[in-house]
Amino acid sequence: MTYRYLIERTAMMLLTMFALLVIQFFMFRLMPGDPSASIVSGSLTREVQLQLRKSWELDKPLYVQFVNYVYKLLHLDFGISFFKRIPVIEIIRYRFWNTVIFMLVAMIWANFIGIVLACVSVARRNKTGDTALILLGSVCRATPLFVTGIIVLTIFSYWLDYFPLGGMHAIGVGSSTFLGRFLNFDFLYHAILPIFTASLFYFTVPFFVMRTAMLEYVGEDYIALAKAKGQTNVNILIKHLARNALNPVVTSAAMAIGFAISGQVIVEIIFRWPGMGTELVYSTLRRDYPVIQGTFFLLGIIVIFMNYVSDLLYLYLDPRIRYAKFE
Amino acid sequence: MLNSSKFLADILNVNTLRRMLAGSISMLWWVTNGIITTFRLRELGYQGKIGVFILLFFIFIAIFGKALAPYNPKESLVGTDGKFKSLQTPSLQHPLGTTWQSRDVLSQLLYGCRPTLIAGATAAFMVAFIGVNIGIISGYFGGKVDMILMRFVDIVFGLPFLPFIIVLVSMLGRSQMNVIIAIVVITWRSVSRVVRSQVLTLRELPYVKAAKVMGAGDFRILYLHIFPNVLPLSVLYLAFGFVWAILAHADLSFLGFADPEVVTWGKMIYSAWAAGVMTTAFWWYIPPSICISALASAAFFYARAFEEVANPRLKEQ
Repeated sequence: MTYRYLIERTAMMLLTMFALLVIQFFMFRLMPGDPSASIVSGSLTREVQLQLRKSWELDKPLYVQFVNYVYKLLHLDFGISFFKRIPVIEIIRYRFWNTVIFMLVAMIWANFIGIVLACVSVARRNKTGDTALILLGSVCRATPLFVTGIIVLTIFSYWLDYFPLGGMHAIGVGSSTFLGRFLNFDFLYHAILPIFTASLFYFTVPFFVMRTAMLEYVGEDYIALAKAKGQTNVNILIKHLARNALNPVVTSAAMAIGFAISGQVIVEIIFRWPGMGTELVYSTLRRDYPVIQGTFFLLGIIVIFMNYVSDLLYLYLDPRIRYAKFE
Repeated sequence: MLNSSKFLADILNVNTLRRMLAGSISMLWWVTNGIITTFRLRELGYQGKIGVFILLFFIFIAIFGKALAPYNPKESLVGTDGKFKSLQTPSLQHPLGTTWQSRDVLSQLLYGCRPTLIAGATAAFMVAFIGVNIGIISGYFGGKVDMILMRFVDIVFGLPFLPFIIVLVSMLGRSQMNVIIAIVVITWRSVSRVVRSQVLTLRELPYVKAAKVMGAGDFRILYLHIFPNVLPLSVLYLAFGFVWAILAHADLSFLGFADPEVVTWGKMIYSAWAAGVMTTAFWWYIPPSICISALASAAFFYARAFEEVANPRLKEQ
């Protein structure tokens, strides 16, 4: 049955998370510009240096530091921000869900658009519509998101004044409850433009993968059979071609998530979205190490978890894998 | 003691010169021919050819840009009236106008081509090299080697792309080299996965088995028999790696993590954005936007056209 695969995949996810911990630990300890270099500056006297090292636990052996570090991260204790002087988790807790909700909506919307456009493109194969869609996809794929974002912002916010310039809520609006933060029109009004911008970039991956996959299936016998049966073209396209071509789209979506995070960071910066990407960039610019560590860790967790989900989705979509391999 | 005049006379001998000339011409011919066949330049569709021409144009700008630039891109220019030429609209003197800091936009644009192109090309080659090697070794040897390498790739897939590059660059220090290293360290993952799955089918083919029976060593089979069949895929991912690297480089420049000494297109757009003149000073940020977009699109067009040539299944339909 599929349980074995499920267990294996879950174990792999946990292993990847642990590897993320290790990579992050070494990235923040052993690199030339690590925090100790900026906290314990050479201009201090020797006693002060030693004291500082002791207070940040830098005097202990590396493995003790590692165990302490893992223990703290598992309790979501990322330390205290150098800059804001409050626990990092307080800063991140609010921003984490802003990023996750934004990304989920943008990814689902972009995948939907990409799949629909791929169907249109295949239906109009080698005609003007197809060429125009390919051109649009290529240019969107190759344009950095900050360019798209700036253009979209200039047109829709400055000139037409349809949407706000940025942020997630108007001043004074907002709610202290979790659901109240996202389930209101003000949030929607602020979220439409950034999500539209992000989807301009995200839709290209499912679009091209889906188009290629569908074109590979066009020559198959079962399509000819469906035609001979007298099925309409729309029916063939949706029920026979698109359904089969969904599998590579899901696989590529898993790979695209790692890249999608980078688009996420840029869009958050451009639209001043109070999310993890903004926090990561600004805290890196002011070398606020506990916050960098916290945001980086949680962004990594998002990527790993979404990879996991898309793998399970793949399992669900492709019965060949579900039945053949694990029975 | 070496007789230098005799040495010179030998070198300047007409026959020697002729031979050297013929040698270098044939070498050039050989290299060009190799490039044209490897990159399938003759067979590309018109979209791919347009892409190649745009790429060649940008390579030309990258080489001669500094000589063509009318001003120093970092110099704040002063007009004849003694005032700074801040935010001037395009004119004959400044074909693309000036920035808020009174710098010539055209010169910045011409200077900005080289770092982008170098970063893109270097990163693409390194990504293809590492990715292809790990992919073929993993796919060919299988078993434990495959298991370990692929789990490693899975782990790298768990890293968030841009955040990882940002953190790594800020730790290593903001220089052009470190930006390239940071991009390479994370981008190779996609290449190795694709190459591996290709090698998995290749290694079962009769000609590989025949080579093995004849006593060919593992590495001979890997690099003389399997690698030529993965070459089209490597070229494809070379082009994709170029696009990814350019975009990552632009993103980093825009966010302020690139080398502070280097003028780049991303940084030009960032400074226009930071100055808050997006609604008025179009001449400042539209040209670099178009340049980044055109360069990456050209590489992407080429990649798509190449894919169609190299994968005939797509072409015939």
